[in-house]
Formats: sequence, structure tokens, C-alpha cells
Amino acid sequence: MAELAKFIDVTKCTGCRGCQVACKQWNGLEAIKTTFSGSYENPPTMGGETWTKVRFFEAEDNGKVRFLFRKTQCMHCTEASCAAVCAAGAIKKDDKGMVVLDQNKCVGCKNCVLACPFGAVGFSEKTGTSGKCRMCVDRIDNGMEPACVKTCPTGAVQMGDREQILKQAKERIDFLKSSGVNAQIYGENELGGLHVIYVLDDKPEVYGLPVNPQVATANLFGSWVSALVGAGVMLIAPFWLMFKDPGKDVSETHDTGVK
Amino acid sequence: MHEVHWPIIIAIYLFLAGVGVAAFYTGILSNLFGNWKYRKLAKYGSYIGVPLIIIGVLLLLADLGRPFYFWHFLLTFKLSSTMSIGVWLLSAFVIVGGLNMLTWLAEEDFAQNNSLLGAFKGKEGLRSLTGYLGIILGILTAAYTGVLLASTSAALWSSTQYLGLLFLVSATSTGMAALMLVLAWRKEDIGIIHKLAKADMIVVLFEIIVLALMFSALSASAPAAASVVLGGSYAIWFWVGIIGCGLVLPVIIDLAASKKAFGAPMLASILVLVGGFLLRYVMLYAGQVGL
Ligand code: SF4
Ligand code: SF4
Ligand code: SF4
Repeated sequence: MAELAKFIDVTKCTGCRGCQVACKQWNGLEAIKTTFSGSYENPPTMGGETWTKVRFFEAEDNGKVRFLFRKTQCMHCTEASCAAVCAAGAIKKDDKGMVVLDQNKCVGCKNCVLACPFGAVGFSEKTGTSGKCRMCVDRIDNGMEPACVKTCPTGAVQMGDREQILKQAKERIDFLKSSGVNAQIYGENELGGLHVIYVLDDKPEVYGLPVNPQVATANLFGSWVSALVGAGVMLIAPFWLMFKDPGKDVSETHDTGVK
Repeated sequence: MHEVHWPIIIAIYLFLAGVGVAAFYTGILSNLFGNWKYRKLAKYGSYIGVPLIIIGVLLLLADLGRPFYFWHFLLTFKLSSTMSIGVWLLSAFVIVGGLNMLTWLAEEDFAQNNSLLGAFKGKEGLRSLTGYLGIILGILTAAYTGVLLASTSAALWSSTQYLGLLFLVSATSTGMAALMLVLAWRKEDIGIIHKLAKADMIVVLFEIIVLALMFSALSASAPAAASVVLGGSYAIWFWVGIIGCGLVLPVIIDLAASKKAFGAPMLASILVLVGGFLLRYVMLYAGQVGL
């Protein structure tokens, strides 16, 4: 089946947070008690009970403040760190490119929370498991749009075939560029290609996106190799130096620790 | 205090797992290189290692959101998941190390009338096999505790390839310290204790080198994360606790101590153990700043 993708055009987002509410409603997620933090952004972080959230940014251009919004959620990475690290096999990628966390299998070790480069998974005390956007796969299977897409009043969030979405995003970028906006696409190639494609009107950093995200397991091989090479030197040397038994020939007694 | 996903219980787990496996393999390695003259070390290593690993695993389970679903771990084996590798390493170590420990227990006085333990008496082949296997499993487990942190998106842990090595070296030194402590407490041969202390000094020197390599690499690849440890809110723990008390002071004590007293090696081992725990704690917490 063709890969799907979500399209998020930040230039059309008004920060109404309808998507946040729709996601909580459809997925039966709890409301989070929060306090005013100096921004209308709320709750402070994504989490096991908050799978999508509109982040608010302020940027300054020639003394003029711009108020920016970006809907955040799981990016459904092709190289999904969360799926790679999960030791319970609870996170799987489906044939449409959607990365789905099965809360029935999750043991709540929080490894995925620490592995996700986008901070898109959170732990829920209520369920004892981690949780994240599942791209409403159940709705999609039944011919419906994801809840957040359905609810978005401005058309800033859409869903479709990934190829189609990429085309649409590029057209939009061309249009924005022609009117003098520094428009950029995000998600086409990051981590093997994300299944959330952003149209941004500024650099990714301004919108709190990592410029060059790395998969959490990128360092795995090197870490093992350096540890094991080091192990050779570091373990043999001290014991050989301190405990070696010079002079005598090998005396194979049975009064031994290993033998 | 900033938010942490992996709390103090995980720091304790990483520490105990390191001390446990390292006490086991350092005991056996000393005996191996010592031409089988240090069987006490192999025995105490086994006695220390296996229970500590079991406690460590229980702590790991206690931190799960749903501890009673832990068996889901046992339905999966995945090389890309360091946690999965770790679960299997720990399980294998408990079995292999456990058998090794039984061969030692069978020789103790209290076991003489115990038919269950009696079955393990004189099983030199089994002891040898589980000993060698345990060395390999133990070393891999000690490295795993660091690699586990490295395979995440936390800058302090994932921007370096030295974390596995660091935790392995630190585990080795704490494992030897635990052995020394038990030997000193049992008033065993002071000569062996001093040999262990010397060997531990070599490991501590390695550890200082690895720490220096790691933080100079981190200062280039993840300066903000490195500065949390080197100059930020954890700096005092790092410089005074880990470097000062955990590494430098034990070396000085070992160098200055008389060759007959039990006090000095005991104090040095306690300091090494405290430093080893602080290393886990600081790396674990500092890595989660701003996540
Ligand atoms: S954004 Fe995070 S949670 Fe989503 S697929 Fe990628 S790594 Fe997994
Ligand atoms: S918290 Fe759950 S989903 Fe995440 S890695 Fe652990 S078992 Fe897997
Ligand atoms: S796709 Fe579904 S689960 Fe994901 S953010 Fe939208 S409503 Fe929530």
C-alpha cells in the first residue's frame, strides 16, 4: 500500500488548538492539570496523555514580533528510534509508514521516551505505559481522516498519500516564496523520510525542530566496538600485571577457582 | 529539580549491575592469571556478583510502569534494542552465575548435609564452564549499562562512543573494590588485598584517561550537555565526588598506605564504590537536563 503522510502548513495555523482537543477526545486521553507558564502554550510538554500539542514561538523581525505556531506530534519516522529501542516489541511500523505503539504490549520502561529525537513519546502514570500519536490508524482503516485533521478549521493539517502530500507541499512553498516568504519544507528526507511533512515560513530552528536529527541507535555499533576493544586492554592488563605467576610452570591442580 | 524519565532507581540499578558482574569476572580473572592460586577471589566474586545482579534486576522491574508485564521483554530479542540485549544478558548471567555460585556453596560447611547443594559438589567442569561464560557475559553486561544510555537522543549520552567503555571500566574498578572490601572484612590474606588494590589502581588510571577522552570529545560534539557536568549544576558532584573522592583519593591512599593494615584498602574501596555510584547518578541525571 502507498505510504501516507500528514501535511502541516504552519502558515495556515491560527493556534486554536482544536487538534489538541480532538486528539484527546478521540483517543480518550486525560486532561492535564497545568499552571500558567507565561505563554498560551499548554500543557508544557507532550506526554503519555498528550499526543499532540501546538507549540508557540516568538520571533523578532526588524523590531516586529511574529507569533508562530507549530502543531507537534510523532513524526512517524522511517528510521524510527522508538521502534528500534523498544525491548518489548510494542512499537511497529505498518505498511503505510505509520509507527504505532501498542499499549497492551508496552511495559513502561520509558526507553522510547528517551530515544525519540522529537520528544514525541511520553509516559502516562495513568496507564503505566508510554503513549504517542498513532496517526489514528483505526480511523484511516475505516476511511476517515485522523481526528486532528478532521477538526482543523483552516486546513493547516491534512492527510494523504505521501507522494501527493510532498507535491502539494512543494507547490505551496513555491507560492510562498513568490510572495517573498523564506519558505522551507521539513520531513522529506530527515531520518529516512518523515510521515509528517511541514511547510515552514522560517528556518526549522525557529520552530524548535532539530536541523539534522539522528536516529537514537546511530552510535550503537561504535559504542560496542570501543567498549569491547577497551575491554581487551583494560581487563587483561591489570590482572596479568598483578596476578601473573612467574617462575613456576603451569601446575594443573584441581584446587582452583575456574578449573 | 528537572524532570527525569529514568530516576534514581535506574542509577542504583546501573551501579549494582556493574559492581555485581565485575566482582564476578575480576575474581575469576585474578584466579585465572594467578595460575589458580586465588580461588578465594573467584569464590567471593561469585558470592557478591550473583545476589547484586538479582537485586539490580528487581530494581529495574520495579521502575517499569507495568512491572507485571515484564515477560513481554522475554518475547522479543532485538539487536537494535540495547535494553533487549541487556535483558537477555542479565537473564543469562543470573543462570550461569547462579550455577557457578552453587558449585561454591556446595563446598561450604553448612551445605554438607544438604542434598540439593550436594548435587553441585565437586563439579569442577561446571564451575569452569560457568566461570568462563560468566566472564564474557559479565563484560558484555558491564558495557551494556553504558551503551543503553548511548542509544537514546539525550545529547550527553548519544554524542559520544565512550559511554559503554567508561561504564565498563568503572564497573571493573567498583567490582574490585567490592571484592577488596569483603576480603578485608573477612580479614583474609592482606597480600591478596594489596595485589587487588594495585590492580584497581591501574583500572582507575584507565578510567581517568577514558573520562578525559570522553569529555574532550563531548566538549566538541555536545558542548552544552558537557558543560552541565563540567561546569553546571552537577560540576561539584563531578569534580569533588567522582574525580576527587572516587578516583584520585583512592590512588593516593593506596600509594601511601602501609602494606599490613586493613584500614587503608577498606577506605579506598569504599571511596571507589561511592565514586562509581556518583558517576552513574551524575551521568544519568545530567543527561536528562532539558529533555
Ligand atoms: S517521532 Fe519519535 S515517536 Fe515518532 S516515530 Fe519518530 S522516533 Fe518514534
Ligand atoms: S516504554 Fe513501552 S513502548 Fe516505550 S520502549 Fe518501553 S516497552 Fe517499548
Ligand atoms: S493523528 Fe490522531 S493520534 Fe495523531 S495527533 Fe492527530 S488525532 Fe492525535
